[in-house]
Amino acid sequence: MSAKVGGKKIKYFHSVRLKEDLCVGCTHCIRTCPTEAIRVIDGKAVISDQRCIDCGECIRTCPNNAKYALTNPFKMIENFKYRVALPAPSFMAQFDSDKISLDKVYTALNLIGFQYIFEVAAAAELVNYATEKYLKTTTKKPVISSACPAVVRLILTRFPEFVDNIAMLEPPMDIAAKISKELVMEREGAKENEIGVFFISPCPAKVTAVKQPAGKDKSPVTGVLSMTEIYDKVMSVLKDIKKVKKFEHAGKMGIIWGVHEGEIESAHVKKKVAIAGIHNVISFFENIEQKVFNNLDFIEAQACVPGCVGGVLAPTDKFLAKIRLKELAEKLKNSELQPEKVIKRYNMDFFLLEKKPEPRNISKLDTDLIKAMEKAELIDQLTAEFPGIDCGICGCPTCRALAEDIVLEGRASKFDCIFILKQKIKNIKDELEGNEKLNRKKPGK
Amino acid sequence: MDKTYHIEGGNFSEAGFASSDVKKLLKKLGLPTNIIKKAAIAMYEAEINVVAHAYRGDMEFKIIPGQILVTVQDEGPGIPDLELAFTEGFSTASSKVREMGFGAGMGLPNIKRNTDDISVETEVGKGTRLSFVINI
Ligand SMILES: Nc1ncnc2c1ncn2[C@@H]1O[C@H](COP(=O)(O)OP(=O)(O)OP(=O)(O)O)[C@@H](O)[C@H]1O
Ligand code: SF4
Ligand SMILES: [Mg+2]
Repeated sequence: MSAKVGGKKIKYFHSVRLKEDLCVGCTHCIRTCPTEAIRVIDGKAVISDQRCIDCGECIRTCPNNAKYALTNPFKMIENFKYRVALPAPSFMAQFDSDKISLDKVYTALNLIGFQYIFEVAAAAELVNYATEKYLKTTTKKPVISSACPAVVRLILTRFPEFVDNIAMLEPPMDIAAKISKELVMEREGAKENEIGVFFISPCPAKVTAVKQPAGKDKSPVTGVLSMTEIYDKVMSVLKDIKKVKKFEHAGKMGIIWGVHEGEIESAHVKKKVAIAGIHNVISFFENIEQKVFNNLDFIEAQACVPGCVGGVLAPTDKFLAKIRLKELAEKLKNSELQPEKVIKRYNMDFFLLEKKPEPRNISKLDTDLIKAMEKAELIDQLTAEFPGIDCGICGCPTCRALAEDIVLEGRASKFDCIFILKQKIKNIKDELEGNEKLNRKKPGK
Repeated sequence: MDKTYHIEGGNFSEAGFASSDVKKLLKKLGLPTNIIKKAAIAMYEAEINVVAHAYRGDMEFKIIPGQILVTVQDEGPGIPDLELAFTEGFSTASSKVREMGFGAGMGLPNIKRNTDDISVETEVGKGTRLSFVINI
């Protein structure tokens, strides 16, 4: 599988990785991968760098913990004089606020090495305002939120027809990074390269979004840390906290971004829809009628259920976290950060992506229509030869996927199908037995 | 390449299967997005018209270099006045069909708008055969 953009073959970075020694080739992951990016070859899972969207489904599924999300090492923060933590809204829901207040959590973040805490929820509040403006002026309706990088990559790889609908807006993480850098530069008279801004992430998709951003050349985020790792660090220093500091917090509109339907809540448009779960997002995009689609104003789509609190790197049970985040949002309700004033400091350009994300068009069979048609026919023919039970023994998620691999990559063979192989063996056996009978019938010397 | 789909009158829940299946194929064949959108819209409208107005039908899809050809042949009441049927806003959809969100009288005009050539043969009491071409 290869994607060519502007004639060059691009190598894609991925946070989702395989620990080969732990992989037993069980084929669980190939079935749940929403983009059919995984094959089991010679007993080990292999992830296609062209197809993977870093949603983390395989990490969730693997019974042997052989899949993991590569994040930046915590030690990376030591390279910077000024260190900013950017907790995702979902991070705010990881702790039981009856026992551990948010201020206590942030005090703990101070203690483990971050001088500054900048809530991504605060940036989300600003993005709410920017989205309102954007929705009023864009001609490309419906607008699809650009906040979930797994969904953005899904569209780039599988739904190029909707690329123009992706909001040309920076996600809250990026806005938080830009503003917090500015703040530290102002306050400390610091140089940009002395400041490290670290996103505390619920998911591998955000790691990829920082390493290889879509819609710009370089991410303003310095590094992405695992929420699970930071959770553990926070929990272990809680006992050392002498005095809980007071922090200013974002309000409901920003906090609620961490759960399904949170982002669309503050979009004042008539027809809005929120989808959670990467498989649901796919079936939505696959089945939506163009006419119905064109009538929508705004689509929130998140790879995880029920929103980012369900990201694979978020340690707390997702439904518990959802309730907690909603409670917190109600409790904090009004932002202490006066987003309606802050937003005035920035013009719309500050919120816009530098460039249109590039579709990757990996689903194309060939650049030449005739050849593509031939390949499609071949794939159909081969698929019909297979039993159609999608058993996975060949290492492909479906019989059709095996047919595609054979035709498009020449890697696989139709005898990878256990049923075809068995038939072939039976034929050989019949032939051998037939020969033997013939031999026996031959008159002796 | 060609594909055939059967369409059952009244089966609203499955309507759209043919157009979304073809859409997937066209994406694989690497056709430009605007062509895929046009084909999907025209096929969907033709499909839904069989579901909403006729008893049953077959949709034939064919792609050759330069063209997409679609023919929908149905057994149904036929269309007594074609010119009227192609008028924006004209619809004979029952109130039941309207309740389902169809019947704005925009289907046929929409097909016309999204295709490069269109022809209809129809016989009242027997059925309708709608063909269209999209240049690629
Ligand atoms: N296959 C068909 N068989 C019989 N009558 C048809 C058929 N297709 C269309 N018609 C007639 O033509 C009219 C106009 O069709 P058109 O698709 O433009 O609008 P509609 O189906 O009524 O509403 P909409 O397509 O906006 O939901 C229909 O109301 C119906 O009377
Ligand atoms: S829904 Fe949120 S947590 Fe899940 S992949 Fe998207 S951005 Fe990451
Ligand atoms: Mg119609």
